[in-house]
Amino acid sequence: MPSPAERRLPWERAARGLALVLLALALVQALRAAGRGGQRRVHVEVGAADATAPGPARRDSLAALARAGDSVTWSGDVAPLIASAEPVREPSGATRFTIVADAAAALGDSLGPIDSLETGGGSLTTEGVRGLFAAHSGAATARVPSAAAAVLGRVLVYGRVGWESKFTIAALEESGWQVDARLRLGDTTLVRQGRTLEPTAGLHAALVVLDTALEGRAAAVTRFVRAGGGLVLSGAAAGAPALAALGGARVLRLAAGEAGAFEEGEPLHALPLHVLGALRPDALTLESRDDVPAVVARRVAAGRVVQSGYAETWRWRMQGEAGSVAEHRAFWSRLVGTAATAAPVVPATATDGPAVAPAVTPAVTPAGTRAIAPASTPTITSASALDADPAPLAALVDALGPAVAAAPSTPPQREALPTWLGAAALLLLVAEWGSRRARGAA
Amino acid sequence: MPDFVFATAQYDSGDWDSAPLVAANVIDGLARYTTLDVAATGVVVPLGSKDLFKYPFVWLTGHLPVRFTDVERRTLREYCARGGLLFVDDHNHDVDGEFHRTAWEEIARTVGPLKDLPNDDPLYRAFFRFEDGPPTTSHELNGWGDNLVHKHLQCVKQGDRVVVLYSSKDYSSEWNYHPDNKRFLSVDNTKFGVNLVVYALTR
Repeated sequence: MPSPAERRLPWERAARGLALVLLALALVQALRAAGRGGQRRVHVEVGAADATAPGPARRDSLAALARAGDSVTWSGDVAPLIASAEPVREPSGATRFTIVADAAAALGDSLGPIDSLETGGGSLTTEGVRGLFAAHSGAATARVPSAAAAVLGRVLVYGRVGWESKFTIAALEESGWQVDARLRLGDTTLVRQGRTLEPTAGLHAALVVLDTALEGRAAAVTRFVRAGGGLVLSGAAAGAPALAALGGARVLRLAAGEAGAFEEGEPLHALPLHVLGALRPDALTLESRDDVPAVVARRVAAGRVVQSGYAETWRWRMQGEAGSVAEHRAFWSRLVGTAATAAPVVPATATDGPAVAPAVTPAVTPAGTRAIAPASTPTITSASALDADPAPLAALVDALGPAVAAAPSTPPQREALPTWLGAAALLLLVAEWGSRRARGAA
Repeated sequence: MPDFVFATAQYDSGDWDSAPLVAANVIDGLARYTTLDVAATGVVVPLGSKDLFKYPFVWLTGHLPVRFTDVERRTLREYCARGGLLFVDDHNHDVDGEFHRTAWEEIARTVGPLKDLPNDDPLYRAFFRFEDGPPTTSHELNGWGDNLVHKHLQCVKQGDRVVVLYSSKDYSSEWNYHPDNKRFLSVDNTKFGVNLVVYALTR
């Protein structure tokens, strides 16, 4: 007959087994709780805790959390804003910044504000700004690095000896272009400037034609344009029959300049104009005078053709009001730059150097484009293309999804390991141990 | 509008119209040797007038002392800055003459001091070639005036561009005859006038 101690043996085993089951349950629950406890909820509220929309670095870290399983949301009012920078295809090395914004935008660089734009945005041409350029609109800040200067070839001018060719070449050279020229002076007499007087792709960025007589060069000009060269047909040459297949429009008539327009500050109205019309479907009017096309552009294969109906533009330089020399110069440089080929641009890279404020001189070019020219040598600021953030709202939505109306509520935390489970297991083990000790077992 | 109009500068002091046939002779030379679209007759343009800017090449001559007015000085300064070229010829061909002294002073006061133009300047091959620099005139060779053959023209440059050319050669006398009379010359002595105009049109 079993002794009382031996009769407790099944109870002891049962208590130990139950304690082990309880401990196993606790372990499973603890592991599950650990799994649940790693998922965090992160919410960014732009305009409250965060004054501005997250920048690229913070946005990337939030996106990384979201990809790791965390719940990341954002709310707030971030205005749509896009900024882009491209090199102006002129020797000035300027950068054209284009801003599109739903609200007013302020522009600046690391040294402070430069200018402001009204709702809708606009473009701004600057020289001397290097490094990151920032556009602020509400809580959004778009950052783009200034573009590296375009690599430009020479300009070849075809024309006849006269004031128009002289002052066109002068304007281009004063703007920094290197100019070759072939000017007719007699039946067999030419005035030459430069060595290569045939339009050559890779050497010449653009060909400017000021004369209708091309003396059998039309085929070479066409080849040059189709290979990617730029062509400017100016004045009477805008209607040169030999190049009619390249132009985007035909010359309809010659309109005289308006008397007194120079004195009234309307220099382009003072010039005779070969009125352009009968535009091809792929032609684009770049400038009009009195609602008739004055400057028209068109792509031809890899090249571009710009027709400018303005004649005797030299009068602008000589007879215009104060500042007309610079205006005439800018007009020609821009006209050639519109057509010119540029070599591929090397992206801006990080450069360290002293930051010096570029002195800017606002000016209004004839076409109404605002230009800012530096009064000093361009400067370098510390910047990195990696910090670029051209479209902050789009990038934020792309990284974290659309904004939520409000921060989501936090669910109650569940206890990782219930206390009763541990206490019960401990109690059972102590009882089992006590029973064994009472009967003298080890 | 023709490509080129020969303009003679009219100034308040002195005798600006002392060589009225020079224009016709230079125009004749341009028409004879080039295909430039040249106005058949020259114009006279007041030096202090805004009309000066319509003519980027202007001829100025005279015998008498030259004193520019403030307006003439201001206009000429602006004219040169914009790209105009003023050619000044001493009708006295005399370095000690009144015109010479006063014109040099006025030019220096207005746009800067005159300096010798090297005889290998592109001016001397702009159309015809003049290997020895500016062609001599019969007045120099005859020993009239200061009894000197002037070896150089003088100029004022802004950057590398000539804005004023000055001559003591007296082309005003040399070219002041009716163009029909060129047929009596074995060598056309106005060829250098073609160079002057082509130089102005291309530099």
